[in-house]
Amino acid sequence: MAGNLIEVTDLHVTYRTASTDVLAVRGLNLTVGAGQSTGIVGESGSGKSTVAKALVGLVPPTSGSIRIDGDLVAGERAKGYHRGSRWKVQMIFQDPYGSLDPRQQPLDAVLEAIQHWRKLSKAQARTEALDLLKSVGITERQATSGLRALSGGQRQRISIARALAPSPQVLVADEPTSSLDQSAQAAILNLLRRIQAERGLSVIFISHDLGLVRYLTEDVIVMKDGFVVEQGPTDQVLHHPTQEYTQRLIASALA
Amino acid sequence: MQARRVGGLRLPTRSPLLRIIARSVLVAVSVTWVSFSLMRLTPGDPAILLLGDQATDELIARMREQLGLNGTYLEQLGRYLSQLAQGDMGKSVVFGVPVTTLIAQAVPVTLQLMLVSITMTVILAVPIAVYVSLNPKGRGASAFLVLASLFVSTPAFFTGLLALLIAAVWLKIAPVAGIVGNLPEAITYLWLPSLVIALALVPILARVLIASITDTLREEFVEVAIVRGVRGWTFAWRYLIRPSIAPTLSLLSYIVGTLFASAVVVELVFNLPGTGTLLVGAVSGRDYPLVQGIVLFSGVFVVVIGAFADIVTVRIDPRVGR
Amino acid sequence: MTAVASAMSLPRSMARRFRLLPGSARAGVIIITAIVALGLLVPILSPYDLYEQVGKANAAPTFEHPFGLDSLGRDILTRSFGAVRIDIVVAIVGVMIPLLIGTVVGGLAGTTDLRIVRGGVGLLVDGINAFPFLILALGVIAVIGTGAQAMIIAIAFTSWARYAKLARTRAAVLRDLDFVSALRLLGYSRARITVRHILPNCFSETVAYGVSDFTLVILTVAALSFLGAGVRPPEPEWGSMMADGRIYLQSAPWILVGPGIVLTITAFGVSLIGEALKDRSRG
Repeated sequence: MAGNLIEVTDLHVTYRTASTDVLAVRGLNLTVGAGQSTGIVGESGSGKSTVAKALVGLVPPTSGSIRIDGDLVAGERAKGYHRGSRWKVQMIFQDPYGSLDPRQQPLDAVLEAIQHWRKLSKAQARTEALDLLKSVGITERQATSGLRALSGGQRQRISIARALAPSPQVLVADEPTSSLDQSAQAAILNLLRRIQAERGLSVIFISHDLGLVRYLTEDVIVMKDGFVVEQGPTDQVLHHPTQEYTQRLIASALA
Repeated sequence: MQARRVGGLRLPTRSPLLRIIARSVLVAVSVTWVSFSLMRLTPGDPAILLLGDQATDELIARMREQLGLNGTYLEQLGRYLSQLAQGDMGKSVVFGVPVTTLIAQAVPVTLQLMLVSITMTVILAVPIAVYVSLNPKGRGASAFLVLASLFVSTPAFFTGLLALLIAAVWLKIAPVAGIVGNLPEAITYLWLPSLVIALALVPILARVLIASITDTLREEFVEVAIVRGVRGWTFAWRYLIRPSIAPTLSLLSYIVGTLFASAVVVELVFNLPGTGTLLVGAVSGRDYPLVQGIVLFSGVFVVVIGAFADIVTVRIDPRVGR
Repeated sequence: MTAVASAMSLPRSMARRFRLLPGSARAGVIIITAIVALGLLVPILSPYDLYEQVGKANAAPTFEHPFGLDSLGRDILTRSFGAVRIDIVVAIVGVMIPLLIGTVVGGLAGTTDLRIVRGGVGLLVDGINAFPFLILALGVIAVIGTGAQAMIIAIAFTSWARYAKLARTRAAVLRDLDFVSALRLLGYSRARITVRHILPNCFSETVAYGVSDFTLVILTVAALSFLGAGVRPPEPEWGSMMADGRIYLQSAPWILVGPGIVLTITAFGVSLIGEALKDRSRG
């Protein structure tokens, strides 16, 4: 089975609350090869965000296992992410206003991440950070000013640059464009597609919008109430959906 | 919202009333522990500090016993709590009588002072707040802002001494100091010190009222009422004052705390034999049990007032407690 | 190179910030600057000594002694401005120490997953905050003794809890934000995230509060000294000077008026700045 970048086997996640247990994910299998991308779609509450959090290690699975590049990062007898694997999987969050430290300059945020992962001189690290920010469309001037002046789209670009700092192999993007306006949304999607191609990056793209997923991924998983209802190549699922739920999602995406 | 948590603890009850009471009891326990620990902050031995280093070992031992400082920390705490439960706060080192007796003598003066002050504060703050919120761009509003900052920054002992000088010494419209009898006759003695306290409190209360009235005035139903011709006192009560009660109540324990603190200074200036004067004397006489008793009383008093305010708030607006 | 450039631009950026302040805060800055300048200059330039008798005791204001003379025949104007130094220094330290302690304790308590710590610190904080500020401070002074240092300890003991409450609330909000998750994914340790990311954000909240708290602390320092529980004579200090004036209220009211006015103007200036900063951090 070597060669697969991500291998998820029979993933279950249950949240315990005071009154009830919420079965957020009820059995999900997924394999993604290096440089390949997968979309996970569903309505809100379908469990897609929980899959994202489980993949990056923010939420422990109740059962099942997750392997990244052969390393068992979640599951029975798994030790979780460690320094040898942590850099490989990074994530972009939905709310651009909550995903950056409000007090940190964009440059410092990226610089801190670079210096955490690589031994570089200060000047070198700074150059690299600025290059990275430039590659996502952030100028030096924007990078060295406060966050206040920056738009949601610009903040999302900075989040992407910070996530790219450790040169990950997988980028999990949880609804990265859903709180942005139309033009910013398109720009971020283009940016994701470009870095996907340039870096051979696997993107796990989570969205409620099948139309967006098609743009970035070869395969797709459709989720409802924690279950996988449909899974396969994106084009096939999009053009020949077998489930009524998927058809509804397609219809709402086109509308 | 506020009543739901104590520190980080979630209280396992749905009844807002029970929750408020449980929270207040826990805070009161914390207040008690702080007062208890206060006397144990000393770098040296309080008994030796009180008696001097020439005192015999026997005397010191007896003093430590009187202060409740003998035994281990837990023994001391246990004894303190069990005595407190029986209404015993120990004996004053200076006066030789129970602390509770001394506090009981002083409290009526302080309470009456606080009562008159609060009444004056409300009487002054409400019209000011109504006027400023109805004329937010007027000259009165900007004058209020500057004066509010100025009065909040004037120490109560300065206002108090000036008031004493002007009203009692020059104009002779108030007695120079002291108090005879209780309310209502005692108002002759209490109106001036209360006015001094009120001057510092009016800006605080008025600001809250202005914010709340301004918010209410933005609501559509107020315009409808104006169009429908609701006028005068009905209008003022229904649309200006009643909606402001909840925000004011949430401030009540803060106001009472401030009141208690300014009472210390004002009582001293006006020579009123209240808890403040008692405390200042106890501090300079190093009367530890008395200091501890007054500190504890003030803290518990504020907690009780806060609980009362929370309960009234929940009664007025049940959404708050949920 | 950048250091020099930033040093050069410091006065300019300060001037720009000053111009951006609302009018009332600008007035506050001017008042405080003037008070501090007078506090430094008057004791040096004044022909009269801070501690020595220079005329008849309780002498009324004259052209030579605009604020009059106190009960020991010392010049009240000189002493009123001589008091700026000790009062402002004690107040600054009395704001900074509890701000530091409160923010760190509250920030850590808001971040930790240990419910016992969160609940325990929360209860202690609520307990201390329940006391009227001046009364608890007096209680501490009764135990540890009087003097400037004791006053700072008493103020710190009493007010750290207010900062802790603010910081704890802020930290509890911050720890649930996505950026904390993002930083964890980057492999940063808990300690690093807390110290470098959560605490600085708590500080930006508590520092704004600290400026407005400054008024209360300045008034408390003077009140404690007025009550005989703070700075001791012969040190020039507003509160203790006014305590002296209280004795001669009928015969020599100027003894308390001079220091009272300087104290009030100082507190007023600080409160103008504090209000503006509070409004801004709210907006």
